[in-house]
Amino acid sequence: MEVFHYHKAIVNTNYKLWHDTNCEFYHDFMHYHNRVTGFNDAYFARKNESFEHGHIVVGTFEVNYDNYEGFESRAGLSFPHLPPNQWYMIDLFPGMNFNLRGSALRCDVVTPLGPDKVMIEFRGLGLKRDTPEERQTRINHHNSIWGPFGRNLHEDLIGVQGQGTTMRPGSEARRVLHGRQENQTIHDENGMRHYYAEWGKWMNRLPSNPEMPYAEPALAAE
Amino acid sequence: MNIQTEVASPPMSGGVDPMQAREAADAVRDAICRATIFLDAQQWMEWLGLCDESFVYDIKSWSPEINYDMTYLHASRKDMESLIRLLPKHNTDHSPLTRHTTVYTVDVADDGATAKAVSAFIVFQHMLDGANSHIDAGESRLFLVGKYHDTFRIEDGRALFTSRETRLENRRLDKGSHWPI
Repeated sequence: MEVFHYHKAIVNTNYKLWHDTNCEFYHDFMHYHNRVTGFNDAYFARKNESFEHGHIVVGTFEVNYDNYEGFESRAGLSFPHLPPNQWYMIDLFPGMNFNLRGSALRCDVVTPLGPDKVMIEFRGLGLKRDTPEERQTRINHHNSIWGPFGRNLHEDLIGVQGQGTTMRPGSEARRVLHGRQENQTIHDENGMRHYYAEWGKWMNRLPSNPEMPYAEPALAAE
Repeated sequence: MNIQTEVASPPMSGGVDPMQAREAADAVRDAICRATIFLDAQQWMEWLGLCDESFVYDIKSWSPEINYDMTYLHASRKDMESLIRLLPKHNTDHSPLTRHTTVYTVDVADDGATAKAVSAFIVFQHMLDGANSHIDAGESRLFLVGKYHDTFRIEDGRALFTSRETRLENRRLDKGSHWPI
């Protein structure tokens, strides 16, 4: 593979909230692009699968890019062994994401700069063997959604900064509710519950009450 | 290669009538300034009205981090029309952007039918709220720095953009933007 894209963002929010955007998909409601290209039965059946040590895989489905005005199907270009227009994600604890949308791969790496500030570095990747035309297509597809002037990334960054705003010191009790339980499908927040359980172990803090020491979650909660 | 350091091509105005070349160059400067005003005012369709049907818009930046000349956005005029039309359906940071544009060079082709121009720009973002609206609102922040590399078609004394390559010095773009720069 070859990296064709790099940019970074420094935003006023906690690093875990950025990882959250890559783990839970209820926030897809804020993305017009994802609503029109994705919200169908196959989308709602996507599975979040948890792995040891806080890692997560978000299952795939077929995205209908041509449902967005001016966009076309991306079936003509994919990654090896990946069926066309699929969308897989891998979230590595504590803050790395591999996001594969058929024709382009995005990788996020977070560097916490403080409890309320994070740097996110975004990279886009294609295949080393790409022809110039294929590479340009991958870059265009990547940028249309994930570029700094694309449709979705801007919305995600507005979202997490808004969350950071509500959690400023002096605000009322700071809580993130990860309560949706929908059979580990795409809007189930099992991925983030799993993430925070791992975070609690490392920090010896109870995610639901960080002033308390860590304790294994009750089975009923999961 | 850092293409930002390339030396501009020599002037192409050797064969054109000097008066015609001067008028064409004035038309080019006028188009660049009007584009800045329309973009600042978020009059996107009026901005596109300055552009030829064949218009191509790019935002690019050289990355020393990955040793790659990156394209952040590539769009035809039709693509831009579509993006602009769909903007109200998206969640956008509405902090206004204003551009300070300085035209550096205008080179009119020998036949007087086309031209190239290089301009420097600085884009400021004027915060609507920010992380703490009580503190941040109303503050102006440096957002982007770069150069416009424009090409034009000259017709009836009017310069129409055929391409704009917006070359950024920035790779830290924070929340980015849904808007043309």
